[in-house]
This record gives sequence, C-alpha cells and structure tokens, in this order.
Amino acid sequence: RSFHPAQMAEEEETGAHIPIRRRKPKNKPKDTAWRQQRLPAFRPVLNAQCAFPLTLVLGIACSIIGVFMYLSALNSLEFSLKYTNCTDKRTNSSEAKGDDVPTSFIKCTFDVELKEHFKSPVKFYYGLDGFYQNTRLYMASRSEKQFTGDILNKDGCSPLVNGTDGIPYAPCGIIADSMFNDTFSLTTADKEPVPFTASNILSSYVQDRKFKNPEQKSGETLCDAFKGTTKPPSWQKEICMLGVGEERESVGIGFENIDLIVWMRTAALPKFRKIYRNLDIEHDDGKYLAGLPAGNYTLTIDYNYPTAAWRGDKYFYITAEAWAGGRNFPLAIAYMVVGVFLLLVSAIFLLMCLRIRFLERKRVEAQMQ
Amino acid sequence: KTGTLTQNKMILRRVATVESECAVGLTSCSAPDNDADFRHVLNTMIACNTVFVQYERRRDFIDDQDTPQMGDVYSIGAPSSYALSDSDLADEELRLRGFGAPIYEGESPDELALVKGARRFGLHLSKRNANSVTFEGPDDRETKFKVLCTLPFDNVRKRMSVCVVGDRPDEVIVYTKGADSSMLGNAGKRVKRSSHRRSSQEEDEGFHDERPRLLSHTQSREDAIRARVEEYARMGLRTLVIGMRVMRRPEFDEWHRVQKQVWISNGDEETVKMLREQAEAIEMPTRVIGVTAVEDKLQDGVERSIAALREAKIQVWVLTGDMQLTAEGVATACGLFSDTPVDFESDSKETYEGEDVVVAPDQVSELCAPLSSALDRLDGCLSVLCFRLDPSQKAEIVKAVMRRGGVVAAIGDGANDVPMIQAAHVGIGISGHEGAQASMAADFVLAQFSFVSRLVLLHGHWNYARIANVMLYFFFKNIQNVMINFFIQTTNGYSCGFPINMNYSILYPVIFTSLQPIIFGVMEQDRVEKELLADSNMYEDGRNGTLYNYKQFAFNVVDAVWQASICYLMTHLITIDSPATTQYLGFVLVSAMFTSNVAHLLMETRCINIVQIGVQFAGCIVSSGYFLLFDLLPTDEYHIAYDAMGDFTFYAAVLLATLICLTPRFILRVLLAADTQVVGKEK
Repeated sequence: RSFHPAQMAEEEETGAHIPIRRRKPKNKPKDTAWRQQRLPAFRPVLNAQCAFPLTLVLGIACSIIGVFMYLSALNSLEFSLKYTNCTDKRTNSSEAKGDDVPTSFIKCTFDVELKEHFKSPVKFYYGLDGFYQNTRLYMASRSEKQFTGDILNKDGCSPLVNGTDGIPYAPCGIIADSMFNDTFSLTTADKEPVPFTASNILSSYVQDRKFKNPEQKSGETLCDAFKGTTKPPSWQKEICMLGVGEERESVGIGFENIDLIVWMRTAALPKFRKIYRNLDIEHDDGKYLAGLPAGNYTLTIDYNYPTAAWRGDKYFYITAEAWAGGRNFPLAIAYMVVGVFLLLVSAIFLLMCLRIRFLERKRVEAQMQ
Repeated sequence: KTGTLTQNKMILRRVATVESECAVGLTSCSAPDNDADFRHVLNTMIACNTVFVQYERRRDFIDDQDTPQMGDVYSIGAPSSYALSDSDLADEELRLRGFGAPIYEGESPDELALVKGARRFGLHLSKRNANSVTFEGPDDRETKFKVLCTLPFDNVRKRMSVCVVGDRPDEVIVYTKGADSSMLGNAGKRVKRSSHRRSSQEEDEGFHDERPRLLSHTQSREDAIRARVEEYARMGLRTLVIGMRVMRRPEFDEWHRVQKQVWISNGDEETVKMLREQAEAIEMPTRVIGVTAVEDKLQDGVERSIAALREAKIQVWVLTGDMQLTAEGVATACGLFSDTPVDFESDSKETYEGEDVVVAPDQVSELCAPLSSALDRLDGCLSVLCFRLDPSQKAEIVKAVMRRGGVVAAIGDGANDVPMIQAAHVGIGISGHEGAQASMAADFVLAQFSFVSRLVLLHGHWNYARIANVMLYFFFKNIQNVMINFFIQTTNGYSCGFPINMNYSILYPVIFTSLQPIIFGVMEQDRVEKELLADSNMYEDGRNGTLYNYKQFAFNVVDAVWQASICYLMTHLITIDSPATTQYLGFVLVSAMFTSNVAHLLMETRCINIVQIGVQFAGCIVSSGYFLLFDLLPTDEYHIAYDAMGDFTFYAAVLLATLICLTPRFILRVLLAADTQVVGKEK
C-alpha cells in the first residue's frame, strides 16, 4: 500500500475524497436562455445619439402627414349656413320674435352661392351646436327592442314611456321625442330642385338589423301595425306617417326612416352635425354626375325644430369631401405642429450629440497631454 | 460569519510544540528528531477524535434507490463508540477482500483534517473501534493503542480527551485537545488550584523530559504555546491546543470506577454536571505540549464578492462565534480589513468614520441597547467584526440595526445562524457542509458565498427596478384611466355619461393590459448584467431609492394627467362638429389610451425581448379583437369599431395622440440621460 504524499495533498485540496452523491440532481433549472433570462433582446438606450434619428424621422413623417392632410382639407369644399332664428320673408315671423315653433310654420329661404364646383360625392348635413346628445340620462332613454319591431317594448324609455291616456309612445324615450325635424330643399337658379337621396347614407347593416317596422298582416297598413301606440309628445306626425311624401328620396317610413335612424345614433359632443341627404347623381339624366356645379341656388328650410328651449344654434352644410375625410384642419395643423416641434427637438438632440462628442474629444486631448 | 466565507474544508497547515514547528505543505513532512512532545502531538492527532475508517467508498445514505446490502455492512461507517463488536472478524474480512486505501469519515472536519494531516508525517490511522486505535508508522509498523476511556467534546469544557495505555502498561496517558481558552491560562487554573502541585510532580515523573523541572516552567511553556496560537490565528488558521497527562494505572482505575458509576446513572442534568466534573478531574492539569493549526480555505471569489459589496456602499458586518484572532485573520484574508482594525468602545464618543471596527462580545449588549447611540457612531465605518457571539447575540445585533432603520441581509450557513437569518429583512443561506437548517430558514439559498454579490448587485438591482417601474406604471395607468373619464365629463354636462364600452372598461386592467406589465415586471432588465456586475455603484439606485420616490411618483401623476388630456383632446378634435356618434368617441378614446399605454410600456422597457414583443402584440390583437366581436351584437355600438378601423382619421388621431402623449417623457428621459452621460464621461 503506497501513499504518495503529493497525491494525497492534491486529493485533500481538491476534495476528491468526498463521496460523490450518485443521485441525479433534482429541480435543477435548465440552462436555457428562457429559464436563465438570457433571451436575446433589443436594448434601446435613451440618449441623444439614439433619440436623434428617431425624432428626426418622426418629425419629418408628421410634417408630411400634416401637409397632406392640410391639402386634403383644402380640397374638401364646404358651404355652411347658420340659420338659427331665421325670418320667414313672407310672414315676417321668426323664432327670435317669439313666434311659436312649429305651429307658426316658419319657412326661410336663403340664397346660396357656390363659388366652386362641388365634386361628387356631395353631402348635405344639418348641424346643432349646444345640444347635449351625450348626456347620460338622454342617451339611456331609448328602447332598442322597440325599434326592431316589438312596438310595445318600452325598456329603458323612462321618463317618456306612456302618453297621458296610458297608451305607449312609439317610438318611446327622450331621444326619439327630441328628433330633429327641420326639412331642407335646394333649388337651382332655374327653380329646378336639386335631387336629394337618402340611400347610401347609412350602411345597410345598421339599417337592416337594428331598425324594423312591426310586421304587417296582409291587407294591413303600416298605421294598423302601429295600432296601440301614440306619437311622442313633441312630434307632429304619427310614426307611421314619418317619411311619407318623400318616397322619391328613399328615406324610408316609420322606424326605417333614415332621419330617425340618424338621430337615434347619438352625437359624440354638444356641437355636432348629422347627415341629411346625399346628392342624387343618378337623377335628372346624370346632370349631377360630376357633383354640384358652381352657381346660385336657393335653400328653403321648414323651420320646425325649436331652439329656444336649449338655446343653441342650427346649421346647414353642403360638403364635398376629399380623401382624408372632410375639412379637418385642426388635426392637420396638429400634425404639422408636432412635426415641426419634433424637428426642433431633433436639432437640440443633434446639438447635444455634438456637445458630448466635443467634450469627449477635449477629454481625450487632455489625456494625451 | 466566518464559516460562511470559508469552504469548511480543513487542511492541516502547522504542527508545533514548544521547541519545534513544522509547516505542512504539499510534500511529506518528517517529525523533528529528539522532540518527544512532537510524537505525542501526532499521537493525539491520530487518537483523540471520533474519526472512523472504512475501506470502500461509503454508499450515500441519501441515495434511497440504493439501500445497503448485507455485504456492505463493513463499509457502513460507525464512530468508535458503537463500532462493530467483533473487530477481528472484520479484520479478517478486510484482509480477504483486499480493500484499498482507507477513507476517513467523521463528524468534525477539524478532526478529519488532523487525521489526514498525520498522514503527511507517515502515520496512517488504519483501524478504530471502541477499545483500540491502530495506526501504521512510516515503516509500516503497526502501533495499537488500547483506549480505556473517551471523554467527548462538550460546549462548557471545549475539550475532548482519550485515555490510552501508554508505553508502559502501568501508565495511562490522557491526551486532550481543545480550544486555547480552555487549555491555556485562566481556564485551567480553576481546577489546578487544588491539584497543581501533585499533578505536576506526577507529570514529570511519568514523562521523561530532560529539561529542568521547575514550577515556573509550566508558565513559560504555556506562554510559548500561546504565542504560537496567536501567530497562527493571525494567519487565519484555526488552532487547537494539545495537552497530555500521564497517570499511574491505580489512580486512573480509581477515577474510572467513579466515572463508570456516574455514566450508568440517569442522564439528568446533575449527571451531566458530574460527568463534566469527572472529565475535568482527569483532564486537568494537563501538560500543554503543542498546537495544531488547520486552515479553512476561503471560498473562491469571496474577496471579489466582498469588495464588490463594499464598493456598492454596503456595510459588511461579520458576526462570528470564532475567537478574535481567527476572525480577524479571516477578515483580513477576505479583504474585509484593509488596515489595522479599531476596537469599539461603547462608552466613548468617537465616531468610526472610514475605519474597520472590532466589537468585543462584552460590548454587544451595550451596542444593541434600544436607546443606545452606539450604533450611530458606527454609521460611517467600513466594516464591523463581532467575535465570540452566540446565536442569540447575532440576532440581537441584526434587530438593533434594523431598529435603527438599516436594511439587513443576513448570510449564514449553520444552525447557529438561523436566529440571525430569521431576524433580518433578507435571509440568505449558504448550503454547505453544515446542514440544512440555515437553508431552510433563509429566503435565498446559495451554494457559495461569492454568489452573494451577484444576488445583491444584479438580481437585487433588477428586482428593485422591476418593482419600482411596475408600481409607477400601475399608478400611471390607473390615474390616466380615471382622468380620461374626468375629461369626458367636461363636454357632456358633467352628467356621468360614459361613452366607452362598459365591459371593455371593466376588463381593461384585468385582461387587456394585465399581462404586459406582469411580463415587464418579470423579464425587464434595466441594465445589462455585465454592466451591473462590473460597476457596483449602480446598486446605489436601490440604496438611495432613486427609481421609486415622491419625485418619481409626482412625475408619473403629472404625466398621467397629461396623457389623459392628450388622449381626450385628440378624440375631441376629430369628433367635434362631425357626424361621429358617442360610441365612436368612446372607441377612439380607448384606442388612443391603449396604444399610448402599450407604447409607454415599450418605451420604459430597457430589454425588449421576443416575449415582451409577443405579449404586447397579443394584447393589441385581443383588444381590437374584442371590439370587432362586440361589434357584431346589435347594440348601440353596432359596427362602430369596424367602421372606425376603415377610416383614415381614426388612425391619424390615435397615432398623433400616442406620439404627443409620450413626447414629454421621452424628451425628459433623453435630457436626464445626457446629464449623466456627460458627468459619467467627465469622471
């Protein structure tokens, strides 16, 4: 038996004499990038050198987008008319003078001079300012189910549910009751009416799925189908008569009336506009195929909707929209401002980069000396 | 704790007697000639322990699939006290089976080191059982000691002894080894008072020493040994003092009779005390003959680790049960003490700015007193060493520092560190050779001390940054959400109208933006591993709380209000005086909020890996998917999202909102980074 001292010493130092555990290691985490948090990663550094190209690119991009949106907004034409408290030239009556609306049957006419040709698609809007369609209780006061044909369903219509005699309203609720009912017509200088259409105003899916008249049995009129209901207190027409007489403009009757549907889609903010009609390009042998030509027109407004109660303003708009969606100058200007700002920031970052480089060079020079 | 810093793998480095000294290196040593003491020291190293011998690698008891077979019976080690009864049979077996080199196993690593160290002098312990110790000399000559009695180690005596039959059959030699405090000076005197004269005579009579037999000689001999002990301790070695006493057989037999009677009686406290007194009666007085020094090597990377911790301005305290010199030796070896340490004085007023402080055990109670200002004076010191502490004192110190507002991480490896580990904010156990108690009590378990710097500097920093950033992000996100709700009210007549899809709003923090911050909180690495390990100063983020404080909180609140207002303003800009419906406004608003939240989180992420990108992408899909599915129900929001997503204005507004939302934060981040960059470069 020989023990070499050096070997022994080595054995003692390295611990080779310690019995080796034969069991395989348990719970040993795998040495993978995922387990050991060593996944390859992009590690952006927030300093001037890295930020400068980013702000420069974003600045340029924003400026370009802004300019394009501005040009688009310039290309979109818009005629707007505020007609609140207008005076009927024949009877000289006006809401401002205290004449009751709508019983005074105020009919205003305005001369509309379009200086440019309004390219298709031409749209006609009415606008209200100061009308809070987004108030919580107002928004809630409607019955979705009633509009799908279940005329006696009044869920959620509080506080306008039943009339004085206990007959339910159709449509019920405050939104429907406060429906806008001014009507507009545009005539050319030759006294020929400009053809309006309500088709293509709303996507068919909204129209078809959410708003349906009650089922008519054979031989029944629509009014029979709506039997057992009464018109909302502020309305002049029964629901079954809504849209009657405007069939040429394909506005729809009853619950399927486009004006009602548009009104029922509550506006986002107290100043809003809602689509009234589109220019009917197919009518009159394609006379309006290219849009609404420049020239003088006469706008006639049946002033039925009172403003005294909510002290707001009413507008009428004629628009021809370019690709970026209307005369959205604020967004275009915001883009340009942000773009220019980012360019200025890039300039500052560039200066900072140069300063750091300068300091670095100075430091190196100092070290050299 | 010193044991935490070392490998607990003992290697004999020095053997010394009064006259000679032998350094044990990598080569074999030979005992100095004509030094009889040295032979006895070696005998003690071989005999005075509980190491047992086996000739085959022991099967691992923990290995449960591998239960011992009948044939293994000899290989299963047993300490001397309950060794195999029929030793001759065992011998025969061993010879027949031709086993290889012996393997030593024992409870105490110190004892193993001594037995193995003896091999360097050519002495191989070959067999041990209850009654005998056999070892082979350099010339393969077997020597057999008949062991008459073994007096095991206890905490009060701090010694152990064996009584063996000496060279002459009518002599009994008592070999004793123990800590210096119990073997030298005052500790021994208490017993010596009664029996000094007689025993010294005996001792001299029995042992043939050529030197003058003077009473004062004992004193100078002890001084010489003490000098050696101190020298070795300063080198960081662990010392044991070895003593022997030679008795006549009749005297020993008398003692042994009494001992046996006591041994047989009940194991109550009285018996234990009597046993101790019995042991002391035979051990003392002893003739101090030598000292052994065992090195407990520092673990790899301990110095680097401690240096890194101190560079991070973490005060390192060593709380140890070891004696002062050993503790100081270890502290110096591991780079904790760069200069001569200063002794702590509890009744002085001086502060220890920039010093290494040593606290004596009798100062500890003063230090830990609840109203004491002693700890304040240790504020600026570099490191503190407290020695000869018992486990409860370690915990006391930890609690005192915590009371003062310190954040304490306690690192320990043994059962006696458990109170300290449990008391501290963060308990770190080193799973070493000293059992699992510390590991069980600790919050984190490491295999080596050197990983502490990685745990603290890397994972500590990462986790602090993660928690801080996730908290701030959650505050930010919720405040933004609520503020958007507030801004909506300004244009709907303060009617509590809520244009946003209710279900989406409720599920927003639970589903649509839940996984993103969670993954961020798990995977974020605000700095690279290499950078953090290389520069300990970065740990200051956590120590000074720079990532999460009132300033950061206020900044995030302001940013949340800013981002909420921008989201609302952009939405307002495209919906005012337009045919947009209320639901459209709500959809644009949440889209702007969602994209700005996503972009915000991505901007805050310093480590954008595939998982984070995947989760963000999935979030976008789930969020827009929800709206497209909800669109199919004929409610108020029928087809809103579908229409909006085909609309240029919607994208333009959402993108611009996101851009404006993040610009201030981005610019501020860059400007602040530039400052540190310049400062860093100038450094």
